[in-house]
Amino acid sequence: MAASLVDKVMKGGGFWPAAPAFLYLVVFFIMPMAVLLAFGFVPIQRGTVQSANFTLEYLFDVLTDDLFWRVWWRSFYVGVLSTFFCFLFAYPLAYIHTLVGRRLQMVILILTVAPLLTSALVRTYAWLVILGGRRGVVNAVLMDLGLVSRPLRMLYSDFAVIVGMVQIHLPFMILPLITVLSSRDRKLEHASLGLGASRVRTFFRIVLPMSMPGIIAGTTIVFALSYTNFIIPQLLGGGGYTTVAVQVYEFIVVILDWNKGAILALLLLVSCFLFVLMITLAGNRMMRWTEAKA
Amino acid sequence: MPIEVADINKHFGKLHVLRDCSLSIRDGETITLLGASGCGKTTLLRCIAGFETPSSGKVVLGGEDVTRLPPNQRGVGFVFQNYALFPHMTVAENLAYGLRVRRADRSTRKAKVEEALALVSLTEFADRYPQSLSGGQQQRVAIARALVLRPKVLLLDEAFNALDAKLRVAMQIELRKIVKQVGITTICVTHDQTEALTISDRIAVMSKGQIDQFATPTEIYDTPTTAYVADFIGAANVLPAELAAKLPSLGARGSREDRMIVIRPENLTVRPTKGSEPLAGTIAFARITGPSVEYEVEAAERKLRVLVSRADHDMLDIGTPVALDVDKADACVAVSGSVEGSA
Ligand SMILES: Nc1ncnc2c1ncn2[C@@H]1O[C@H](COP(=O)(O)OP(=O)(O)OP(=O)(O)O)[C@@H](O)[C@H]1O
Ligand SMILES: [Mg+2]
Repeated sequence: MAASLVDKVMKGGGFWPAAPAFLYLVVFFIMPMAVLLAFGFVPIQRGTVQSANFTLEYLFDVLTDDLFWRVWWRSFYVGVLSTFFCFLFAYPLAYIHTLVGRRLQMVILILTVAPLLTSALVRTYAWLVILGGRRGVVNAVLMDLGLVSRPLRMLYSDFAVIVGMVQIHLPFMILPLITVLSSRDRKLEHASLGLGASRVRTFFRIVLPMSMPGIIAGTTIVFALSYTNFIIPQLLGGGGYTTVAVQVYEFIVVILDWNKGAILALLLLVSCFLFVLMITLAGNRMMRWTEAKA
Repeated sequence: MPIEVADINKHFGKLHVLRDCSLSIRDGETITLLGASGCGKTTLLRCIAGFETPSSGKVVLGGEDVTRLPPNQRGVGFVFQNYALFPHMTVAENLAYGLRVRRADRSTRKAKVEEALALVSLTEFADRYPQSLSGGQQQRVAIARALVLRPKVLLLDEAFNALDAKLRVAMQIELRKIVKQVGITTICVTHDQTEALTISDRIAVMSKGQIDQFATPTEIYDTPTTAYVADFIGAANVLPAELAAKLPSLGARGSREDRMIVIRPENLTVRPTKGSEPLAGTIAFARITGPSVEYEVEAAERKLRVLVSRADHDMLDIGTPVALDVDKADACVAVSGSVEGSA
């Protein structure tokens, strides 16, 4: 019996090789998640379930609350803008990476990956120091140069949050773009030039559409990370700055209202999933050609 | 449009890929670059198209020096060795791409694309993506994509190699018609010598980055200038002059020491012998090729190919001792160089 199971696993085929990973995910990820989400639908006080009566009351409360929608809107535009600026900075860099020599490629790659070696929390604190108050790096330089007379207020704003998000999530955009761009067939660009197209046209008609798989990978990752991040808005956005993710944290850890926290977590998760799905579907529409492999 | 290639050299790092290549091609002419794999055919073609900048030398198209001009300003049609079709566009969109660049309006585009598709018999594949086509179909799309623009100069890098024999001939004939009708100056690259002999007005034989000979197919066949050319086009026996001098009818003709003598198999004769001959050998292999017999004769430690008509000749068995001679001494040419390293 045991031997035959081992046999099945070793010989591969179908589901069996994935069984250990699957088991792990069910026990340590899906079950806790389900329990947490279930908390949104039964009354809980001080961490104990009061009764097993299923109720939509909490969900209804949240969805009819204006405040929730304002907070959600902030989560959304922070996510969208961070993704947009990440793409804007990452694409040219990834493209340049494919044009330069081996050595510069290494430099770009190392500079891209290096930030991942420190924790995101540490980097968020670093942004506090850079953007913060009158003695922050940026203000100090600007004032020393006499460009401004009073320190600029940069911290605790959308600006600070988005700057932090973009810097911290940039590698996740750059890496898939480098992968897809460096494996592209340069002959196609030659063919386009040979047919009379300008370099600009060749870029927009050939290079950009062909890098769609990398663009989709990068944008979904960065959007999901930015939309659900709660450390960066909390630290760089300051006390009054809330996003849905920050609220989940506050309701569950600070206020101890698990019902509302669970509902918010559920909404965050489901909406994030929907957005990722939308990006992927839109991307796939633009990539119908990849299905044509003979 | 006439093409003038003057003393082109191309280096890739330390690699010297093209050495003093010069070609002067007349308007409307079709020429073929022929040579072993890796000898620089594609590189020379890419220099002419502008995808590669020569290290030195000039490319002149229709009187204009285009050496420094980017490919999109040369108006040269190019069919790539591995097609380079745009995978994210359908066959029809691939063909329309160059027309869009030229701002052709919708109806013109449609008409021209349909015409080009019909030409390569791919009308029913218009809306398919290139990856779902066979190699030969992709190749035809690549040819059509270049032809639809009616370029003045067309460069084809092994544009027929994925086609089956029948289709290949049909495509070559079609292409030749268009090329003549529109007056396109064409440079083809191929490994296939029969293809080269059938489609080209002149052939340039390349070896190791050099153009060995640039002449008409008959000149290349009858009077090759190097041993490499002789060996590459058609079968040839290339003998050192002092050995060739032992052939009775050839005698001392051209027996200067540094030269090699090219003797085509159909110009060699064999007859059975018992006595000692100046150049004798034994039949190592015999093969009937329709109206003639092809022998492989071992003589003077080398293998010679002999092609004789069966009409006036009884077939000889393997192992028969034979004496060798030539039919026409005039048809044997002296060349420079050796054949080592060539097939
Ligand atoms: N971009 C490049 N960088 C370095 N070396 C190159 C480059 N392109 C070609 N070469 C070298 O130049 C030589 C000639 O290449 P080329 O592609 O012109 O040969 P070819 O005659 O077209 O061969 P084939 O018949 O196999 O297509 C080869 O030795 C090749 O390795
Ligand atoms: Mg080649």
